Amino acid sequence: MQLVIQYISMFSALVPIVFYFIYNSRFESSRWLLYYLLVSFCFEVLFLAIEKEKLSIDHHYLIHSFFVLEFCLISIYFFRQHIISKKLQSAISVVALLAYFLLLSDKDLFRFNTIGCALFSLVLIFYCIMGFKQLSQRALPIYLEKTAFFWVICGLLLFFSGSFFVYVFKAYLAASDVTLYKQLWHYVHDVLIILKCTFIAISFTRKIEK
Amino acid sequence: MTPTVFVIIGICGMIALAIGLIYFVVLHQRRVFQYHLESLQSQKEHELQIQLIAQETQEQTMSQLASELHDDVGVLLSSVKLFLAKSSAENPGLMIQSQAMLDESIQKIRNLSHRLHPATLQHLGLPVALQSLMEVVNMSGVIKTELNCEKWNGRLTEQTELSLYRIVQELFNNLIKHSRLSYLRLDLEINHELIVILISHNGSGLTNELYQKEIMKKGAIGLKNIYNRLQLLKANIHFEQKEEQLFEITITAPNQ
Repeated sequence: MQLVIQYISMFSALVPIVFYFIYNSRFESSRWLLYYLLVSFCFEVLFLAIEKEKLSIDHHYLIHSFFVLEFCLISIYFFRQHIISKKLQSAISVVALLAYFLLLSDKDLFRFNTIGCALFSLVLIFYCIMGFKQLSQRALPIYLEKTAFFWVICGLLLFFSGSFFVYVFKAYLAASDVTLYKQLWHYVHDVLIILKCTFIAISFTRKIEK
Repeated sequence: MTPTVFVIIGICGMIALAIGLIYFVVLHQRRVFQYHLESLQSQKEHELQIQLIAQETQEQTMSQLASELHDDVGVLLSSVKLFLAKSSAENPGLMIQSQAMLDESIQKIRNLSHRLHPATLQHLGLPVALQSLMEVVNMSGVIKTELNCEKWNGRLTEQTELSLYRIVQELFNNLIKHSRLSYLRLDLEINHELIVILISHNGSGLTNELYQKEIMKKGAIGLKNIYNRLQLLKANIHFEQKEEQLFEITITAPNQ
């Protein structure tokens, strides 16, 4: 079952990618989501290849690169949506990135950066909440389900909220209770990835951006 | 509490918070949207009310003006005609000319009075008033007219009859001005639910798209008046080209 979920979550990124081209998503900011999905899919395939083929590559470099890229691409997406002032958002993003690298050098390059990832999640949750605030303060009200931005922030908010505790306790659980760690990773994290990809795919079918 | 339980509770709590937030935002937005729709609706109703009052006032003024012209000025002119007839012996040529001019003036005032407030509509109802309107069109000799009101019986409220009469009157004016038609037919139908007025002609006509464009433009006062009256009646109008030489205008109004 875990393996099935793992494979579904890996390939779930392909669904929104296909939707992007089928529905010919017209919003400029959607391009950054497409890059994010492509990056996610490539890294997932790489992680699986390393795990299954038992390649002698330390995948922690890849994990760090993936989290930094993920954070940057989603930040750029929110930056394009003008959810808060550009200066403030730039400052928050730069501080979060710096903190991630500082925590990385302080610990070890070959370990999962739990605090750094949790920090990224918190920042992205904050962006999602600000996105909701912006949507609910529209001058002309509209059914939120008709907008692409609503589905994107729903997917991202659910994913990062659910993953937050998984990231914080990943190192602890991996060391103390491997079974529970794997169950949490596959049943929570991977399922949330599938949900996130589904919501982003729905967002590509919408004709109104926000 | 072991850290494992803490992690599971934490994950569930965060997901529940996220779902709660999404639910709250959607619910809030729906309420705002509902409120916005209701305020738009009430604004529209208010505008319709104002239009109704404006039209009633206009009709009242026209009615007063018509009765003044008919009962007062008309009578005065007729009296002058009588006086002139008595003194025609002195200058018969001038008298005949004056009498002809007076006849023309009296007829014009009668017509104007009738157009401002059709008495036939008030006393005999919509089909008779429209019959009389079609006779006027027929009198030109250029346009052949036909009226079918077999499926019409009873009377409507004064306001509804007047609005429908004005709409048909305005449509006839537009057709005569712009359509180069030689045949005009009017079908009237009424049942428990609907009032249907069908105007068929062989001139050139509007389509629905053109009508929508015209009422959005500046000017086109006649069409805007039709639109406003239809709004008040909660009625619809549909323009359609049936054949190359057959255009139809259908007015459908609820029978309240």
